[in-house]
Amino acid sequence: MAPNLLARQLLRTRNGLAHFAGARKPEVAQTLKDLVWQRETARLWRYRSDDRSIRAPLLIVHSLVSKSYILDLQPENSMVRFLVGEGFDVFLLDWEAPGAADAENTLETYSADLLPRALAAVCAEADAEELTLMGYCFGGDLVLLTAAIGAGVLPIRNVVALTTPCDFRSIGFLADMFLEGRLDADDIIDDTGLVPASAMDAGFQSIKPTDQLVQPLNLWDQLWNAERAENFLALYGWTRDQIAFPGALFRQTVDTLVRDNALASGEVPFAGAVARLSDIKRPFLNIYCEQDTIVPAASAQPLVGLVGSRDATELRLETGHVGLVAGRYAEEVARPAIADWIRRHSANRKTSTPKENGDRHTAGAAAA
Amino acid sequence: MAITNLPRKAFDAVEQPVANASESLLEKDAFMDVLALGWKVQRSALRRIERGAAAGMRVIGVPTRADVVDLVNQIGGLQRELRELRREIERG
Repeated sequence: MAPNLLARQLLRTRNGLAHFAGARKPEVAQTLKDLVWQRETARLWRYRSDDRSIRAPLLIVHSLVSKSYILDLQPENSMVRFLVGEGFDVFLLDWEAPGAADAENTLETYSADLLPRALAAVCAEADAEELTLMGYCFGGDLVLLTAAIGAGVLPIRNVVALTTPCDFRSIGFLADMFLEGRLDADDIIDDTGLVPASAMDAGFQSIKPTDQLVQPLNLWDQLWNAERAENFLALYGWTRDQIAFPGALFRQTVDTLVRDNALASGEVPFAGAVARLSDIKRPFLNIYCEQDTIVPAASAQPLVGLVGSRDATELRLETGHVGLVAGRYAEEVARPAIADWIRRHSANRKTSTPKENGDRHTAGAAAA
Repeated sequence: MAITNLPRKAFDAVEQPVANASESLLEKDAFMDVLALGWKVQRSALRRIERGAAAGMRVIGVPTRADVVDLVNQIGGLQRELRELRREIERG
């Protein structure tokens, strides 16, 4: 039974004081893991497990624009923990916040250098010949470029894109502010050559201008219940916990991905040549979300039509950018759907080659 | 219970139309043009203030933010050179 009005105020006071005094901080990223490889800002983690029943390891590549603990938010709300429990050998490629030394990093730094090295490290660590490569948000773009330039060379068995921007002209405000005649990339980049975390935060906050009023009230509503307050703070804390972004990569993003909308054309100028999404022939899963305000469905949707995979599936889910990986919808719908597809595509290759799998598939939330 | 929810309901009744209006404003080209111009003006003004303050600090011999940034960038440049050397060694 919920406590009465006075009791709630007392509980709010107690929990509020504990929170503001720093005595009660949400514990995030608690799933046990080991650092197995690192280079520059890249950190490759392998999650501990007693049951790695699915042979092909799963490498999750996190976005460069946020922190990866959203994938392992809390023990009872963790995409990583779910996948480990399902028998996957889960690796996470995470990124430390960049410094001045990383200011000149470009798409090539990540997709042609760090990712291929990480793939090799995963295969060596897991003693595997191939892996499933899954990217979240901008991490999905890095994965796509790596899979495109490394087609037939890199040990990639499947490619999974989670709410990955493709048509940057459909993103809305965040991208439209950088169309010609408005802001240039250098209007945002600071003197050390980085887009500061504060600018990233301001950008994301501007998508929902009233959120800065609403969220403290939401916290007030939850504060009488310590567990609910902690869950709220873990998630809300993540949305405000941004990291800086390399300036050269930001220039490239604005010029190539936003203004030229290169990914939507399927061909991205890359390392003096062209990366073609049509070169991705491995089984491909594209998951995007109807209520996503950061990467709207219209931005992520074109991918299945651009890759060269004969086994290309898309899953349109009735949730948002974060709801895909954290929260009740993720637990009940999204995570099981992701795990199911990967499991089916991680069987013995002789029974699961792309050509044998036939036509492209589209599935909605109901099918998930 | 209903009484305790009243302030929140009242807030939501006001906030939701405001949120909808502000979100649709963000989609308007004219608004984005003004916002971009405002950002550029603000940044330019801040740079001028910083330069003015830095000139004053140099007179009294205090290191400025620009001096620190220069050092940070020099160290960053050295780290990049080391990385490039490492890559060359790895390429053999």
